[in-house]
Amino acid sequence: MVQEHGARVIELGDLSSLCGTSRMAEIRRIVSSLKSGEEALIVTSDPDTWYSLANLGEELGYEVIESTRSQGRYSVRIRIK
Amino acid sequence: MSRAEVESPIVDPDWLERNLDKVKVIEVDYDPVSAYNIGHIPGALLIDWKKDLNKYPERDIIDKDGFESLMSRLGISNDDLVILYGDYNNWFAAFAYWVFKVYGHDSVKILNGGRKKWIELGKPLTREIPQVRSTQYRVRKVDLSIRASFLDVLKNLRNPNVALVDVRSPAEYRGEISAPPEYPNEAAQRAGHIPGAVNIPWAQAVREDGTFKSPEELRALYEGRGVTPDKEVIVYCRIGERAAHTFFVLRELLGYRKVRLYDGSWSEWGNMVGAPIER
Repeated sequence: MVQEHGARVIELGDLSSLCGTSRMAEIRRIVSSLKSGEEALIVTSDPDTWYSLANLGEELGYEVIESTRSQGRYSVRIRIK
Repeated sequence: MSRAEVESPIVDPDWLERNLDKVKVIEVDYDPVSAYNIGHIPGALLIDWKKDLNKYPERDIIDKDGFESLMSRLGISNDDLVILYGDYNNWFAAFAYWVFKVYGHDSVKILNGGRKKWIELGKPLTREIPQVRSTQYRVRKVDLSIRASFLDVLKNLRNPNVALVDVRSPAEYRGEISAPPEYPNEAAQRAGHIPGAVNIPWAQAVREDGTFKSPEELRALYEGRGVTPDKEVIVYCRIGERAAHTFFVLRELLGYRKVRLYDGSWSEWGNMVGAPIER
């Protein structure tokens, strides 16, 4: 398991070729695999997926600690509520 | 707008940001919960692809009355310039574009790169829902020459003057799957492709950032596979939205004169008793 600053790193890839329901389902699947209080750094190459990750915390039960982008790499650090 | 801007079927993000007050912007989503609802271009309206462009209970696109109701509810007038965009590389925006063309609303363009490019560029997004005043939209003409039915495709199989383009993934084309696992409701009874179809996946028409490739690159892509402007072209996928993207590329960007979308696509053909299939 890859970790970065104590958070599990999850490579989400580019979900822009999946339908919206699948993107939500994929994000939900990742979130449900994490334990309460656990932190994860989710990385994607798709800015739209990144935006979804950074703004769906309320709906999907996580807190966004940090959201960054750099040279085509988009990441969101979350903590499960 | 300059003449080039007027004639182009696409607008770029910088142009749209400067002209938001002059056009009607509509986001077309498959799932607004993870898109429009969490942030959209300021002033953009929403078309929910499933609810607003599809007829129920029968499988079909909305009819003329349905299109008029939708446009009226969104406050669109016949003369409005509408800019469509969405997620997933503008698949559903392209499908909406095709529906707009079917019902004669010609003043419509697509935002190059869709949500993906807009967000990549750091352009503004808002959750604010615009207030609209309903209109009395009336369809002035219906153009079904851009739509192909099952029978249209069947009677043109092996017609050398008709190019059939399958825009799905190679695995779907080869019949290894009839639908990716994330789309269980769209799987057909049989897998494969329509006889004579060439496989040119829709994604080959766009760059990684979701913007369309240049006309020169696109011409090489399609003409290199025998899909030439002198032919009539019928495009299909699984339920029609990816094919609409290629429809837009061929007809609007490359100027092919005869392009039709077979919106029944594989979810119809692969379930039809007796329909010939190749693998």
